[in-house]
Amino acid sequence: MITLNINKKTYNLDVDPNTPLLWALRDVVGLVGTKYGCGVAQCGACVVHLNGEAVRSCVTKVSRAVGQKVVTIEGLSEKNDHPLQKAWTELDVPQCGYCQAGQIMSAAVLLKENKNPTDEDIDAAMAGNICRCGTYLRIRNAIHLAADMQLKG
Amino acid sequence: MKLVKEKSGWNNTENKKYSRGVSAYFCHASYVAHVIDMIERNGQPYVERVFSAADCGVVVNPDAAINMVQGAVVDGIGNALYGALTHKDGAAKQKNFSQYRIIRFHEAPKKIEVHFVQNDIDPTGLGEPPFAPVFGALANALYKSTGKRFYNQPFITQLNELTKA
Repeated sequence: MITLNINKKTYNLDVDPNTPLLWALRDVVGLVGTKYGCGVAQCGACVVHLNGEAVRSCVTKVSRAVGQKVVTIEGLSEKNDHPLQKAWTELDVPQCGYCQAGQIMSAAVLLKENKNPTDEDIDAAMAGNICRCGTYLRIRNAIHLAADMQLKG
Repeated sequence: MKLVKEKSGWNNTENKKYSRGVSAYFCHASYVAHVIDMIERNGQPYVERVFSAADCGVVVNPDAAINMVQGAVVDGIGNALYGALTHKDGAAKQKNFSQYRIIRFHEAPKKIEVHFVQNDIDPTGLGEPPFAPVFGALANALYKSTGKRFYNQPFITQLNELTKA
């Protein structure tokens, strides 16, 4: 049995300790907002927070998350009202949407560490997240907008 | 072509600092033209700015339509420059994104300006039409900067061979 704290809730999961965190989240807990993209830490679709840091859940063993705070896209805010979520809606960022949960989770760590990132800061911090629809320009704009919202409270 | 010529300031001397390439295309009953402004950044080609004009009938949701054109341009640049997909024994040799290079944040343009030809014709396609002409416009921009014609995608392969020679 593996005990995990996910989005402030405790879960006892009957999974092998070597199971990737992604599959524990999606297949066992049923939190399917986190996506499977490549399985080899190349695309960023599966990014979740482990004690506030961005990790790729596809290559993170579930045992590594024991005793840590796991946050998924479902737990990023109480009412889907994180500045990034509001900015994403405001600017209509997604097209197909598949990579966007991972994009937002990566951006959330960036905004926590850098309150007012430049385009270059964004490009560097987000380099591990890819988007086949090519929404990079809107994501940049949405991160700037979220930073403004955050600064103005 | 008229619209993109006007919006990109085709004859404006201020734009001389860019290697400019233009291309136009027709498919799915839509017309699209792009002007690509390329620079050299850290020894690599970088598309900094793109101007696009599309004639796709009535634009029902302009914001989403702009997003689609911008996305096609971004993905087109990635495919044209980096997208090497080769096959052996009936299977792709590139099995994942560790082997297949897809365009990332820092390689995406700073600005993609999208304009639509105003008319009353029923809506036509906008997924594919803005994608294909990126290749031609980029090949023309590369011709401007290198004096060589680029016919085989991914262009980065030929470009690397040129720099080595």
